[in-house]
Amino acid sequence: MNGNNSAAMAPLPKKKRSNMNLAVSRWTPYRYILPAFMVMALMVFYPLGYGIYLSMTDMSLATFKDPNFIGLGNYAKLLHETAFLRTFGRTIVWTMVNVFFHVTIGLFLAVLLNRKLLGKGIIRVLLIIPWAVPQYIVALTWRGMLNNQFGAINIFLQKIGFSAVPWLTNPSWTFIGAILTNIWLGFPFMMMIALGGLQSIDKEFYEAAEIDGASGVQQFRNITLPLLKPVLAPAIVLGTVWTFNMLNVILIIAGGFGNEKTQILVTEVYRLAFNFYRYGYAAAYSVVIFLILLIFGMTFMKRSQGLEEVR
Amino acid sequence: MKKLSMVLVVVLVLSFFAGCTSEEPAAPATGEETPETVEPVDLALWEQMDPVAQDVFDQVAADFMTEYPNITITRTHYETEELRTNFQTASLAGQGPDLVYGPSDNVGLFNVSGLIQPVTNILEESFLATVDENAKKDGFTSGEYWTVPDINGNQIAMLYNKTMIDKAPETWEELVTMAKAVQNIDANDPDNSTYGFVFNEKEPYWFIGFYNGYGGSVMDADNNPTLDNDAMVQALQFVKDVRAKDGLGIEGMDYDIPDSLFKQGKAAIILNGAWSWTSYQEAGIDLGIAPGPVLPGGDNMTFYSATKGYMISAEMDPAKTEAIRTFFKYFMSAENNAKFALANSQAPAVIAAWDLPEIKDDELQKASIATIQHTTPMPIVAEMRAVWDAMRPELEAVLYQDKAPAEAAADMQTRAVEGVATIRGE
Repeated sequence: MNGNNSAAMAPLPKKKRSNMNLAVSRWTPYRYILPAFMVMALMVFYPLGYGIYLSMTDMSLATFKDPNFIGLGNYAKLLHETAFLRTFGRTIVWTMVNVFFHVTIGLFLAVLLNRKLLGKGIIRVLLIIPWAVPQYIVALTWRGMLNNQFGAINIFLQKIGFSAVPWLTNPSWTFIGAILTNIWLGFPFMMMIALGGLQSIDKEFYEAAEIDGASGVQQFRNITLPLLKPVLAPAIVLGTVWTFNMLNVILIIAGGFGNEKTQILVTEVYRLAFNFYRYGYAAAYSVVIFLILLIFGMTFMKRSQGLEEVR
Repeated sequence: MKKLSMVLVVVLVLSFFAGCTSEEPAAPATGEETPETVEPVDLALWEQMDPVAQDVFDQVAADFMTEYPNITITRTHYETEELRTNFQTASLAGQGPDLVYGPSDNVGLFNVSGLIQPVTNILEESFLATVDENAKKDGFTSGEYWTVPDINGNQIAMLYNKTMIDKAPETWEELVTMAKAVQNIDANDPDNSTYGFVFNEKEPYWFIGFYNGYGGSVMDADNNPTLDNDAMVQALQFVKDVRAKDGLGIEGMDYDIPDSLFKQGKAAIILNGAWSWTSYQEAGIDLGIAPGPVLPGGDNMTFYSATKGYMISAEMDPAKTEAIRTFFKYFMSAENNAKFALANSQAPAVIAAWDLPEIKDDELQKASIATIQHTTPMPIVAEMRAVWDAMRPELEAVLYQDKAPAEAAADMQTRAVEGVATIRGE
């Protein structure tokens, strides 16, 4: 239907009323985002604001119903704790090692799956399995496999001539066991993201590069990686946040809060809140974690230019 | 269109806030007791029951509501941690249930926070006298009873496979002899080995049996940790020696491996809790149950027992007092209590239930009542968490990193004191 024709045929007042209802005013975008904003306000901003408020109180068991406002007291205490710095260092190691292997393995498998390969569909499904199985089940299975005497990993190591590794009785090895479990859990996500990115790269770039005599490595460095950046950079930020805040794997592999050497910041928050009932202090930990991840996310995206167009 | 969108927005806003309003107006408190509740009353119960116990509860509740048509019971199930956090959060908002059912170690947490009230506020002494004294003690702190326990147990006992061991050893020396006689370990083929004695060596809930057996106690009267003492050193040394000297067990024994070996008939003796006994019978094990043996230079292994029961919310509407009394009178009758005990495979807390045929003639119930005599109630104060947290790393350090027991006991005490200070906000 032509709008101009109908305007000419219809009486002016009626047309004007109709246009008023459909007209895009400066408030229209706000009306559209209002429902989503309200949900965000209730589900994100309010809890975040309440968390920040809680971090400035001494809320604990004794003051549960009537906490006192103590300003930045919890933050001052936290930053002077050597245990916090140790746990923070461990969390950095945990996150960096995990994300490094998630990206490396994920990217490698994605490149492999992007080529002509026999049984590609089945291989792709098999590689997604770690992602599809519930984390809790995966962690329990790995805990069984890491058992010193009966675990598949030690049995295999012994069969090929190595001695058994004390995965679950030595805290340092337990931590490594947790990292192995989380690497296994995390690479399919990166693989899928990278595969999606690879499939959207125009083949002509590679054809042109081949004509110019570029090697495979040069093509990967100068075509694949830059063109994958817009999808990979946000995925790395997401992966970092998820890994930094990974609670289940650590707790299941370590069998709880047993040894400090197996704990990361988020498990410490859980322990403070639900074992020691220091809600205010735990909230301060949470806010610090939030700020660390916020600063990391913003810096990474800016430095990697992940949100910018590829030139 | 504009009006329509405005209406939609208003409806949306109202629907958000509808969830925040009070669900039902509080009934006025009369301040007077009536012999029978005539006004309709809804009792909200939040519970952490096992699935079988939930079914039993629903059956008993249906009978109850038929007999008392003016009282309805609304049961909501939560898992352990969920129950804690949701009850705390809901109580803070004045939206909590009237009754909470769960393990007694919630008591320390809820009473310090002012979320529950002493049961004696509602229930009379004559009613509480029908409940086993030991079970009641488990919910006693700050000079008040805070729970109405319905089952008593969770205790660890010595379980043995009667096809491998003909009678329960009474001393540790006897146990070592009997266990070694059936033990046949092939280091290269652990799956086809037979083990004399296994238990969860890492977990403080098991370890406490040895510590108590050597006369230890984890806290003093003011709930301050008391872990650095001879009993702790002896207990740590004993646990280390189970493998190192007596040659029993497997390095790194956790819960699953011993449990699985015993179920497969590959372990003769295990230390495990009342919650597991039915599963061994179901696995076809000819199960013997006995108290832990006498330790060398000590007493019997003395594990903790813990109850499960009902707590009354501090926010409970006083108008529901009579309905709650009626509820307890019905659910804590000997017959109904026996049903819950059987469903949970744990001892009934109502003394009169012990003499009912269904309890007296049940092998597991008999074993449960017998072994519970050799236990001590687990402290229910919030500070206990700090004790558990302090124990485990030091226990593991002794077992796996050759840390000297005396040094571990001292470090355990330091950790526990720090943990208690954290909990108390000092």
